[in-house]
Amino acid sequence: MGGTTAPLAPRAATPAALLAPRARGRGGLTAGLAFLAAMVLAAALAPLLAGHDPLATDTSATGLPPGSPGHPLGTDQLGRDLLSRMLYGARYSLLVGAAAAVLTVAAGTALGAAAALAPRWLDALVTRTADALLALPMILVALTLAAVAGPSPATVVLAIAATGWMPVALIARAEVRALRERPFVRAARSLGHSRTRILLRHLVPNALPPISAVAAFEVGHAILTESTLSFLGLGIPPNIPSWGNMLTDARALLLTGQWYTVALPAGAIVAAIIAVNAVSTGLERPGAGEGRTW
Amino acid sequence: MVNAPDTAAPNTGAPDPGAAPVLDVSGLRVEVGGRRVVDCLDLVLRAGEATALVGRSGSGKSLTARALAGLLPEGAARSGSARFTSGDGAGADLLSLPPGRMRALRGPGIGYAFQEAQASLNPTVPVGAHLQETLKAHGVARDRRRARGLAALRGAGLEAPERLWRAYPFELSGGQAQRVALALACVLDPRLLIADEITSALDPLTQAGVLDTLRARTAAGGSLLLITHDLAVAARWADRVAVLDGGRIAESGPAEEVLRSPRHPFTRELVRAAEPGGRVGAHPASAGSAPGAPAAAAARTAGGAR
Repeated sequence: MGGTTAPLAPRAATPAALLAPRARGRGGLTAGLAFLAAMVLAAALAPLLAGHDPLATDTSATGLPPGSPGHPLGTDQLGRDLLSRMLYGARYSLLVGAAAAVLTVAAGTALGAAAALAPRWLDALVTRTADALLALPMILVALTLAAVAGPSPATVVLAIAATGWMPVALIARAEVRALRERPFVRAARSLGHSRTRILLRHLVPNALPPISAVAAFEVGHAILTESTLSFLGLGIPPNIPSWGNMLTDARALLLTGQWYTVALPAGAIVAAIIAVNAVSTGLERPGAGEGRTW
Repeated sequence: MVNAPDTAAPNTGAPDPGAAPVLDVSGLRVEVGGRRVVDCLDLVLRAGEATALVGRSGSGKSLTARALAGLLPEGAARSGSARFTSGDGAGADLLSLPPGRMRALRGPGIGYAFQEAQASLNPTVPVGAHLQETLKAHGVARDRRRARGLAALRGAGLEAPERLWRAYPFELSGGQAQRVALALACVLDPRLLIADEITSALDPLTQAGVLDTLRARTAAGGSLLLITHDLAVAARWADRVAVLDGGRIAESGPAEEVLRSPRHPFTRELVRAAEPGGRVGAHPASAGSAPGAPAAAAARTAGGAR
């Protein structure tokens, strides 16, 4: 039969092969991923790298500057080792940031996709709620939730998800609505696939590229919100080291010469957000012009 | 919209006695945004027979097929009746079937191959997974899915299906994509296959190969609804032809008879427009009918695929 044994185009189906051409010429993506990986590794290996208990006070070594013997990043006013607190703080800040981002994106995608396929009244309910919440100052809603539920990492995750799902939902809804009439979705219907199957296998995966771009920004937003809530005393309890709590403790020292107590957690937050944004920017246009959506 | 006068439809819809109708469409109406696009359409499709639904672009061919398969776009409405008889003799009206039963019928009862083959494959899903998921959706045991999928690809004329099994749609050529889409529509061995302009974008050789594959299905007892604007395709590969004009069947009957001696003015015009040196400009839809003219093709039907 004519044309049936034509050689295939060069294969690029393995994940490594798919990533390789993207990584080339995308220094931001590679650097961002490497930096985040290093941060996660450092946080995971905190007990090995820290050398000190992050909660242990040492009255004989208070307010030491960076480079002091035994305390490479110095100590705070209570003599707690700043390197240890930074490493242990990374655990909470990164974990809470990632968990909040995952929950935000999952909830936003589910609500948006459901709204796109749901009866008109449910669609209207979701979109109007999203519009109303977008009109409220985010920090006000998060503060109220945190104040009602009490400060804890779980509250922070919930507060961030409750105030961050709307843009994801609106994007997911628009994408799924646009995809509904695409030929491959019609073809899946013509083959007798169920609505759930079509949603999970055909609509959501193809709606993911724009959602993933927003998702990466949500990670940065979540880390920042965690820090803000902790700074305001409504996030992670003060006895647990997190980057936000370290900022809270150090705010009085900003103008006293002990600038590093502020600069270290603030720098880590800024660096993490920049790295996540570099990754999201690097992932934005994969496969463009290659006839595929990934 | 121009509707053909009722009086000028001498052989519309009257089923030949004896042959088992797979689908009996009566009074089908389709409205899109309040505008009637298909009006009072009658059509009978029989087992072992290929029927070509021909007409110019925008005459309602694809909407008719999509209405029958329950795949109309949002905002479109349909009415009338379309009695489908399954292999075990059980009948059901497709237009009033509950969604669950219609879903079960799609695949094993009615297969649908689309014009935009590449676009009708999910870009994030490999070829093999398309086939396996479709078989899974209809309860085929896991250990039999791969073998059936490969057999369907082979049946659609792909000679080395194992090589395509893990390929993504963007890695396929146009002909390969069309055959994969055809394999997907046929993997559950549907009683009725609707082929919606599936060869419009293919070269004549690949087109002939794909259409031969379709004809082989009707030889095995399946029914085929071939939607095309190409009279040469209809003449060579269809047993019967129904000419659609302005949303109504203008004329229908055995392919050879309708195309050799058309009775309805619109059919005559359509045939003339596709002849070499005919008034091609009068019918843009027919202007591109590439491989052969209907007059010559009609002559081929006697010794051709029939």
